Amino acid sequence: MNTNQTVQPPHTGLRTVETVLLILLVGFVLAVVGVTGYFRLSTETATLRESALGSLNVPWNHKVNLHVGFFTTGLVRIGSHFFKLPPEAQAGIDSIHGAEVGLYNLQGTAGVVDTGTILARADKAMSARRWDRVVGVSHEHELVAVYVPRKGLSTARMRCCVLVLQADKLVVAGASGNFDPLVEIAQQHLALKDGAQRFALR
Amino acid sequence: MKRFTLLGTAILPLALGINALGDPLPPGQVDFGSFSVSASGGQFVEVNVTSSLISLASKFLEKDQPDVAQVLKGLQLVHVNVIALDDQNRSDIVSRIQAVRKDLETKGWERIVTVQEKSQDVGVYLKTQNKDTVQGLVVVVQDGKNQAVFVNVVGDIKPEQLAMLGDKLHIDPLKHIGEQIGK
Repeated sequence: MNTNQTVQPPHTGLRTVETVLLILLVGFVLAVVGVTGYFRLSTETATLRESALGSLNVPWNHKVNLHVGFFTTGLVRIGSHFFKLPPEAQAGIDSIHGAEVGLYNLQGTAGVVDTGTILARADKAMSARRWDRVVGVSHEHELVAVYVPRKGLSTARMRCCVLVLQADKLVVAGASGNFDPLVEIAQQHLALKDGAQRFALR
Repeated sequence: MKRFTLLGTAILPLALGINALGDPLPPGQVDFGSFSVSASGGQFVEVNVTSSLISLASKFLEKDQPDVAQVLKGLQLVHVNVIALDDQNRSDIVSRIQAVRKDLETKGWERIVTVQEKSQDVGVYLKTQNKDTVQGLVVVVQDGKNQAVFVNVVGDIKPEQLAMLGDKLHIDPLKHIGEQIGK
């Protein structure tokens, strides 16, 4: 008996439909994640926001929540090379790899803002994520705090998060980037300046 | 099970001991303790510039100001605290200033500058190794009844370089203190 006769031919048509559906589904999910990502803060910046809002314990509503990540800034970087931009502007664009900002309106904060508690809670939350505060300034219920990662910081890999509390506004922001193009442009400027000075001396 | 408990009991203190020994403060670093923002909303400034940020700053300056970049390369940490004094925190901060000064003197720090005028009391302390290498610098200021300042720079730094350091790292209190010491 020939067993080959019992083998069913593969349903290539159905497989193609399944594959197309799967690609469409993955594409849709990626599009949803991508689009919502513009309005979602990164984990560290969200941690900073949660710790501040948790300490304040007042009603709030968000005014702005915007996040441009590596993909969008990458597109901007690629696109910018098709235009003749000043080298400083190009270096600035090349340096930014991600930026985000969240602006929140707070209600009934008069007399209830304890910046010490906010700072202590934010420090604890960020420290758990291995981020340290490098700057903390508080004066009359206003607060500015800047955090950077404990390790892995260099000109090529710069990241920071900022919290600003002023009256009834809370701002949390974050940025990441590669400062090497900026360092390079600064050094080029200095080299030109040095050259000009040497030329002038002759 | 009993054996595991015994083993755990034996290992835990050892592990804690190793952990405590594994991360000692550098010789020039001083722990001032944590300061909290005063409830009355007085001024509070805390700046903690670590080695990674210092090396970042030195990289920016190495072509333009190589001498400044060289100073920055010798540093590991710059820590500044400015605390406004009020009725709630004054006694605590003043006693902490005294405790820090006493602690520095017992740990071999040398008080190299003393400025006492009006109600201001400034003390500058230096920690050296073999009398020629500076390991750290501490400035403790009690400005009357209104303000206290604690500064710790870990690394090879001279008091007369503080104003320059404050200027380059954009730390105004440090610049101000450096200018005061330089007078």
